[in-house]
Amino acid sequence: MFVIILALTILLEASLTTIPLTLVLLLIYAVYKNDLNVLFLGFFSGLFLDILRLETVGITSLYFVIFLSLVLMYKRKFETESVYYLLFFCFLGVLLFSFLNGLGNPIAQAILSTALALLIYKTFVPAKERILPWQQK
Amino acid sequence: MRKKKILPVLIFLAVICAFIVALSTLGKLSFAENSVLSILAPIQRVVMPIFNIKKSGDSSLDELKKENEGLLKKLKDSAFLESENKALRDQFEISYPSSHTLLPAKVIGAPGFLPNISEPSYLVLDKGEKDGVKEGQAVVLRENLVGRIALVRGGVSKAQLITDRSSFFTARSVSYSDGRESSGVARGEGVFLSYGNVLLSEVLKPGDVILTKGDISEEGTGFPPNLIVGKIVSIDKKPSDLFQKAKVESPIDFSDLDQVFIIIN
Repeated sequence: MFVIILALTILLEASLTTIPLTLVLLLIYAVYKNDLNVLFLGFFSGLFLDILRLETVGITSLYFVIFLSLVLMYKRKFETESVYYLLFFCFLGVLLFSFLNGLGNPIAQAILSTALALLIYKTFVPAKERILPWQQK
Repeated sequence: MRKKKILPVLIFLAVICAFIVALSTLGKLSFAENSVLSILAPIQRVVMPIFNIKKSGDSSLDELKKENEGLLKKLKDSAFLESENKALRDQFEISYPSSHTLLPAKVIGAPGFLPNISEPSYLVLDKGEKDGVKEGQAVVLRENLVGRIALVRGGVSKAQLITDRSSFFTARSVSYSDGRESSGVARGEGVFLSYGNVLLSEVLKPGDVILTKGDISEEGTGFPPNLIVGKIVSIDKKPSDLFQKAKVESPIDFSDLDQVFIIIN
């Protein structure tokens, strides 16, 4: 199911909007699931995004893989609730992504993406499953 | 999750990414890219109109926009009739740009910051190398300049819009009320354009029309002269500056484009 939503997001991002929806979705998945497979998802999503947007293939993948790795690596170091951790990394990730891609209004993009991430996280991730980082095994 | 597990995967994927970037930069991935695009472009063509909700149908505003475009065209045409050889024009009934040089292309991607609120940064078109599209060719809608082909793949191409911040080209301003003309450079400023590098001695006024000056290369690519870029809406003229600058608005709503034409000859 997540892969289908991710595919739709890639199509949307390649056709309609410059808001990095794919990155937002991958970040939510990384924080919620804490699963290593998110790196592979990021790798393939980036490839498809670059191909559809007719850009140098591999650049977005590289960014996704590095950034998602950082999210996974430092998840346990931050003793804060998952949602704050997600919002912090979402803002930082989108801001950096917008700067690197030369997109207009990077700060507005980052704020919007963070709000969107919060909305998706609160709506689709059940409250009881929002595990605190230091509670994870 | 331990760093020990993440690091090897990160290094492995990063190396593959770097390898793919190198191959893509050298143009060795064209076949793979074209294959993926040939599958995904038709899906994109279907997805685009579903999500691209048109602006609420204010029909009177649309009519006014069309009327404005028509008036700009009429102004330009009338000036041509005055300045060029009337007899020759009447004899051959030239229509410009000639329809046989135009290749219709559908917009299959137009990522804007916020759909229908801000302008897109570029367009992905459903015509590519196999249709005779080349980098540098002009993209138009009627007589209005839309952009320039920046990248071509097998069946698709990417058009840089004239409002893109890295877009610039030579242009000229024309006043149809008193025949004033000036030369300058039009630059994309994101949502609108600027017309700069105009000497202070030249007179610019709101309402003056900006046309392309023409920069056709030896290969036949580039902007033909006298395509409509837009209309001056405000002027920034300071006596201490070397040049004056004007804000230009295009008559085209770039977020609402679904079909454009590529000048292929």
